Amino acid sequence: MDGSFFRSYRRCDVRDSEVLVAVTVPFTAQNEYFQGFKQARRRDDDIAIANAGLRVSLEDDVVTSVTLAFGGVAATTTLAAETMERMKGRKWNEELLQIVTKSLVEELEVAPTAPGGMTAYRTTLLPSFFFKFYLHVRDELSRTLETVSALAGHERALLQPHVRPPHVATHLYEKVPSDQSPIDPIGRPLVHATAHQQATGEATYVDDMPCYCNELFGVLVISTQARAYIVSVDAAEALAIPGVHIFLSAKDIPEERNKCGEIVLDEEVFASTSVKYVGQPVGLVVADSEDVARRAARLVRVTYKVVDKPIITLQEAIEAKSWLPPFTAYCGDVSAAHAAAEHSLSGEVHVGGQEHFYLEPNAHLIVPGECNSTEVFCATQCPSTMQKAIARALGVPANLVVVRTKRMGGGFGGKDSRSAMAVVPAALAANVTGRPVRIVLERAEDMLITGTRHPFFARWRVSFNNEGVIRAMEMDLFSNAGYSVDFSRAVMERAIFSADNSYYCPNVRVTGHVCITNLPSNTAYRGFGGPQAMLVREDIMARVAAFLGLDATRVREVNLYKDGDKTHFRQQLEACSVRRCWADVKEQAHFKRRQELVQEFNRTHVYQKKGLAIVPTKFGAAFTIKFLNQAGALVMVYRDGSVLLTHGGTEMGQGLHTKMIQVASKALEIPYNKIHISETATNKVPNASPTAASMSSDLNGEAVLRACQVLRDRLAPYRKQHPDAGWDSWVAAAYLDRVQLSATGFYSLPNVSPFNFETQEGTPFNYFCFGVAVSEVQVDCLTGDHTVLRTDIVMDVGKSLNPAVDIGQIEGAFLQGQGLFTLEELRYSPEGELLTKGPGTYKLPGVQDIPCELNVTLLREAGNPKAVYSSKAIGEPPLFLAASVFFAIREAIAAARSDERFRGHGISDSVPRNTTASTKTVQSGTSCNLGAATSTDFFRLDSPATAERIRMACCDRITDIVRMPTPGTYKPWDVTV
Amino acid sequence: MNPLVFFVNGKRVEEQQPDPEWNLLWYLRSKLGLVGSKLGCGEGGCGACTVMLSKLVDGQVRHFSVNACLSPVVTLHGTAVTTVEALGSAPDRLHPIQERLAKAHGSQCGFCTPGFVMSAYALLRSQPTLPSLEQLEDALVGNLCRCTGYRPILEGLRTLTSDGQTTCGRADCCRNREY
Repeated sequence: MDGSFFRSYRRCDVRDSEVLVAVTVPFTAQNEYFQGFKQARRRDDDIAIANAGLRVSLEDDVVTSVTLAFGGVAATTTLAAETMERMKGRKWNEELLQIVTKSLVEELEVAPTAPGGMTAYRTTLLPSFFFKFYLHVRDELSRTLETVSALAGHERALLQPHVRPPHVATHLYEKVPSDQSPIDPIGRPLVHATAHQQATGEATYVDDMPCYCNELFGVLVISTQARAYIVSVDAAEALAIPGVHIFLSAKDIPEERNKCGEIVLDEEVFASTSVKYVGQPVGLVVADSEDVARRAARLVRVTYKVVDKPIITLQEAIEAKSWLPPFTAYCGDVSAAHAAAEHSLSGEVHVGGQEHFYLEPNAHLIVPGECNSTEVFCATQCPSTMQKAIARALGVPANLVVVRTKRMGGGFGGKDSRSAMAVVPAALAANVTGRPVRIVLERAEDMLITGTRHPFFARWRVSFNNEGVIRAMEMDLFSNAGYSVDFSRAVMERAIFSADNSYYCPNVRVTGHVCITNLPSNTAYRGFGGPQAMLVREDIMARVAAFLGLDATRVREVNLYKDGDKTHFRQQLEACSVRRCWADVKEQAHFKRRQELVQEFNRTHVYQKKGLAIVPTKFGAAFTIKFLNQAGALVMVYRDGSVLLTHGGTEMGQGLHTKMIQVASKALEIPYNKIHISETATNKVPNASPTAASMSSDLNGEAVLRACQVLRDRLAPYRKQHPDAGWDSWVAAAYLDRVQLSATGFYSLPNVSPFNFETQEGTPFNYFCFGVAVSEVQVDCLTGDHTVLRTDIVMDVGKSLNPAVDIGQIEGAFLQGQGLFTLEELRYSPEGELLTKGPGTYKLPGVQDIPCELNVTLLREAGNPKAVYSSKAIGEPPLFLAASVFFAIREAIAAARSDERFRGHGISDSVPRNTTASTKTVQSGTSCNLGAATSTDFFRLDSPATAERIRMACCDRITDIVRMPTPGTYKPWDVTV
Repeated sequence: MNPLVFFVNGKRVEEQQPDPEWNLLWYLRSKLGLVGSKLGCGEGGCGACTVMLSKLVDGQVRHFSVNACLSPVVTLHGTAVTTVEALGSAPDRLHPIQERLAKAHGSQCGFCTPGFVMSAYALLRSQPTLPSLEQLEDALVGNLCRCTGYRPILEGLRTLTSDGQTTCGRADCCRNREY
C-alpha cells in the first residue's frame, strides 16, 4: 500500500473482483520512529479534522527514508511527497524542522473553498503535528547521539500523552433543620419522581405509545431552498405509492387557517407562495407506515424560482438592514461619560447559536374524536399554546382540542413554540383523514426545521479609568432571528436586560436589532438571549483588562454590583448576593494560590498554557411578557386519601413535578408518596403558560400551595375533631359529609410590570438569581485542544426545594453552556443549508468533556421572600457560568501570545511573515497581531472557542506562514451566521 | 430456506422473510413492542438505542454493546439480544445498575437513561472482574446526555468499578463516614 492506494474520495485501488483481506502494520525497526496524530472537535467519538501518520528511518541523525501521511487535507489520505523528498539525507535538526514546516504548508495547503471548511486551521495542523513528531524523534536520538541536543523540560512536557485525571466532585448544601417534620420533604434531595421508570425504560414518551390499529404516519416535505418562489408542488408520484393516503399542502387549507406564529401571525403551516428557509414545511405525506411515508415524501416534486439572494449571515442582514424596529434601554449620559473618561475601547464579538439537541426528537400523536374534537399527545413545553395553534388551524374552538403532555425527553426551549411546526400539520391530517396520525421527526429533520438559539453579533464601546472601573457602555446587539418573529423580540429584550451581567455602570445604552434572515426561525433556548449578551459583557471585561494590563479578575471585581445598585433598566437590586457568591467561590477554589500556580505553569511551559477565570452571572426571574406570569393547579383528593395533582407546568426532566409534589406534600402535611402527577393537560388546567423562563416552580408552586390551602381549610374541622386519626380518616369523614375534595389554585405574579422602551419605565423582574464560577483549563497551543481541569461554582438558589434537583440543574446547565461556548458549532452553507444535521457533525459535550473536578455549593443562608417556600428559579440561571471556561481559555491563549518562546518557535526569522494574518475572517474571529505590545493585546475571540479558534489565536510562526484567505474573494464551504 | 433465528431477552424470535432494511431498533420497538430502547438520532451518535448483543466468538460467548439503530436484523442470526426490559422493572425490582443510576440522580428527562444502563451492563457482562473507572468512562463515550452533565451518571455507576468505590471520587467521601 502506498500513496496511490486511495484514488479519490471514498474510492481506493481495489478492483471489483478483489477483497482487501488484511493490512499488515510492521513493527518499527531500529532507528525507525512512528507516531500518529489526530485532532477532532471532541476528543472522543468524533472524526478527525486532520490527522497524520508520520514515520522516519535514520542513520545516526540523517534521514534515510520518511513517510508523512496526512488525512483531512484532501479528498483522500495524502502523502507529502515533495516534503518527504526534501527531507532525505538531511540531519534531524532545527534546519530540517524549518524546511518541513514551510514545505508542508506550501505542498498541502487546504484550498479556502475545500469541503469541510476550517481550511487555514487544517493547514496549520500539519506542521503542528510534525513539530511534535520532530521533538519525539529528537528526544529518542538524543539518548544515543551526543550531537543531538536533549529536549528541554517544556519540550518534553508536550510529548506527554493526554491523560485525564479521574473525575472528582463535591456538593455542599445545607441539611434541613433537625426539627423539620420527617414527612416534610422540602429541602431534601429526593430523587426524580419517575427516576425508576426512566432507568428501567418503563417511562413512556409519545413515540412509545402503542399504535392505534388505524393509525397513519405523517412525514413533512421540506424546502430545499432558502429564499425562492414556489412554482409548483407535484405529489402525483408520491400518491401513486400503495399505502399513501393523502398529501396536504397550502392549497388544501383556507388561507386564514394556514397562518400561524407564536406572537405575530407571520408564519404558515405550509409554505404557500414562497419558501423562506431550507427546511420549511411545504407539505405533509400521510401513509400507512413511516417507511412508506418517508419514501413517498422524497418523491414530491417542488419546483422553485429563485429571484433574490437569500440573507443568511448576520453580516448580510446588517448590510441589508434586514431587522425589526430596534429598541434601546439606557440610563445616565453616555456621551458625556465617554468624553470625560480616561480610556475608551471598542470592539466586536460574535456568539454562535446552539442546537437544543433534546435527546427525544419532536414526537406527537393526534387522535380525532367525535364532534370535530381532537386529542393530542404532544411532547411540548406549552400544551395550551399548541391547543390554540391546532384549534386555529382546524377552525374549531379551543374546547374541542385537548392537548396532553406526560413528559418530554428534554426541551430546553426547543419544544416551546416550535412544537407547532410538526404537531399542527399532523393535526390537519388527522382531521382530514379522520384517523389517528403520528408524526416523529428524524434527527436531521428536527435540526433543519425547528430553529436554534439565536446567534448574536455585538459592537461595543466602553469608557473606564485606570483601575478598570467602567463609567460608560454602549452596546449594539444584533440577533439572527431567522425567517419569522417568533420569540425573537422577547429574546432580544432579555439580552438587553442581561447586558450588564453583574456589573454596575451608571451610563449605559444598549440597542437591540432583531435581524430577519433566511434561516429557520430561531427561538427560545435556556437563557433566552441572556447568555449571549452576558458573553459580550464579559468580552468587554476581558479586553478592558488586557488593554490596561490588569488582571481581569480585578477588573471584574471593581465593577461588581452592590446590594441596592440600580441596573441600566433602572430596577433596584434587592438582596443582591453576587459579592457573597464571589467571595465564597474564590475561597472554595483557592483562587489566589491557583492563580499563582497557573502563572508558574505558564512560565515553565511553552506549548501548553493554562488559564484560570472567574465569571459571575445574574438572571432576572419573570416572564418579560407580563401576562405569562400566571399559573393554575388542580388538586384532587380521592376517598382513600390519595392525591392526584395537576398543574400548568410540563415535565421535561427538570424535576418540576418532583418539586410540585414536595410543595403539595408540605402544604397538605402528608407523605410525598401519597401524591401522584399523571400528566399536564389542557382539560385539567386551562390557559397555562409555557414551561419556560425558569418560572414554572415559582408560578405553579404558588398555585399548588393555594389549592392545597383550600383543601386544608376544608379538612380542618375533621382534623380538629380527631387530631390523631390521620389524613385518610379526615378525608373519608369529609367525603361522607359531602365536602368537596378537589380544589383549584391560581397565582399571578404581583409587582412586575413590563419594561416600556418608550418611557424606560417598568419592573420586568420579580427578583434576581446570582452565581459565580471559577474554571481552570489547559490548552495545547499547537492543536487548539483543551481540557477543563476544574470548575467551582457557588450558586444562590434561595432555600432549595430540592438540593439534588437544583445541583442537577446547575451541573446540566453548566455543561450545556460549556457546549455553547466551546464545542458546539452550527455550520451553514453560504446558501443557508444547515450542514451539521446530526450528532456525527454537531458535537455535544460527552462524558469525557466535563470538568475533571467539579465542585458545586449552594450559597449558605440564602433565602427569597418572593417565591414559593423561599426558593429561587434554577433552570436557566447557571448556564452562563460556563463562560468561565471560555474566559479561562482566553487567558491561556493570551499567555501563549505573550510568550516570545511560543511565538517564535518552529521557523527562522528569514521566512517572511504573512501580513494578512491580522485580517483573519469573522469565521475564526481572531486576529494575529504579533507586533502589538503584549500588555495591550486585546485580541478578539468569538464564541464558541473551538479547537480551530483556539489554535488560530495562538499565533506563532506557523500561523504566520499559513495564508488567510480574504473574505469575499472565494466561496467558502460554510459561513458563520 | 432456513428462517432467521435469534433471541431477544431469552425468547426465541424467528423470521421467515426478514427484510434487509429492518434495523434492530425498529424491530424491537415496532414488532416486539419493546420500547425501552429509544431512537435519538438513527446514526449511532447518541447511544439512546444501546442494547447488548451476545454471540459465539471462537467457541466463547462474548457480549458487546451495540447501537440497535445501526444493526441490521439480518446480521443477527444465532445471536442473543438483551434490552433494558430484561434487567429490572420499577414495580418489581431494579437492577443494581438501574438503582444506582436512579438514586444518584442520573436521570433527568430519562430518554438517554436506558442506553447508559445498557452500555454499563454490557461492560459488566463482558469481563469476569469489575471494570476500572477508566473502562467505565470509555464504555460511556458513545452515550450522549443533554440534561445531567454526566457527573451524576458517573457517580451512580462508578460504585460498580474496581477503583471508583466512592461516589464522588474522593478518598474521604462523606458518605463513607460514620455519623
